[in-house]
Amino acid sequence: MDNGIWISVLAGITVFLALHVILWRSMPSDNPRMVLLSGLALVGMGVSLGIASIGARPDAARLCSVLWIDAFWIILYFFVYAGLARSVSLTCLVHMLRSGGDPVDFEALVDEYARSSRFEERIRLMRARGLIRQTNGSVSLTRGGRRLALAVDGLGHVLNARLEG
Amino acid sequence: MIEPVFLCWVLVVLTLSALAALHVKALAWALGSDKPIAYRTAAFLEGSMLVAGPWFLWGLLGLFSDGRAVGIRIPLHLRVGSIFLYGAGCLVYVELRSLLSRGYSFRILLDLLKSGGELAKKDLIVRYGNGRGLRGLLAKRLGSLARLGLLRMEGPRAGSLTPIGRGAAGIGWAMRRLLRLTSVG
Repeated sequence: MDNGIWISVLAGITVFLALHVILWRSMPSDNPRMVLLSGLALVGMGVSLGIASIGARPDAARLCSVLWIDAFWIILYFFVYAGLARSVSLTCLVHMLRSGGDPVDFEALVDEYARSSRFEERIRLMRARGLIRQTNGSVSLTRGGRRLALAVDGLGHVLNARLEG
Repeated sequence: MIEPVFLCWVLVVLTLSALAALHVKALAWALGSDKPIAYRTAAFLEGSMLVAGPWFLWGLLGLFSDGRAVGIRIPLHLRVGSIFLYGAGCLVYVELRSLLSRGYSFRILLDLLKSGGELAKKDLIVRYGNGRGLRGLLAKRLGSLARLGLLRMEGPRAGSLTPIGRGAAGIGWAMRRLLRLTSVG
């Protein structure tokens, strides 16, 4: 297998990650900005395909190999990023690390989480995405939120997944 | 004549779909019977998808490596690319299952749906996750972290972190700082 394919993939991934870090550090935001991240991923894939096309007549099989290898690494990174941006489990781990790694009282952890703004932030994000609306202390589904909830419920039944949260 | 790219795509989709369908079927058996063997079978099939699936697919693609089978030759780089494509498909399936079983926002939407579409905000917190609340949310997360070997549960106390847990937490914290992610889950 020729090295050109690996070089193309590496170049594309490097461009994607470099743009991602530069933009996120220069313009921090509370929003995970998945659409922007997807756009950067497409730029990275474009770079990979461009480099793979240099020198020889573009061969569909070669370009597909580059694209599929790119897709794997980018999808893997998306899942890592989703965890960084929104994972409650990671937040618990980091909290424990910063408390010295020693055992913490479970009830104290629950109390601290309840007092934090994390649930509020999640509600705010869902409101910004048009999934819910908030009026006078109550939260309600928008039409889009209802459709998504029904889709999630249906898909969960098809895949035999119990959504416990 | 079938193009090698199309053939690879078909073989990847068929392999992934077959293993995912078996896994879903095993989960249906597990949820219906509640028998330990059923849960172990489902876990085995999920592991097979991730470990045995790529080997099986590699062997399948290898049947076409010399062009003698049905006149189609799949070059080595396309075989390698197909394994990565299969890996991408596995990631999507695993993440989809994860979201459908522990998605925080999805659970909030479902709680609202099952309450007629509207709830007072304080009730939303209390009723989160079919009434388990934030306590249930954290208990489930900590239980999963303990099963993954990232921390030890010691009765009513959570922690201490294992070395792998410390490593994961350290990397996570460093990456959050690098990307300046302050508002997190």
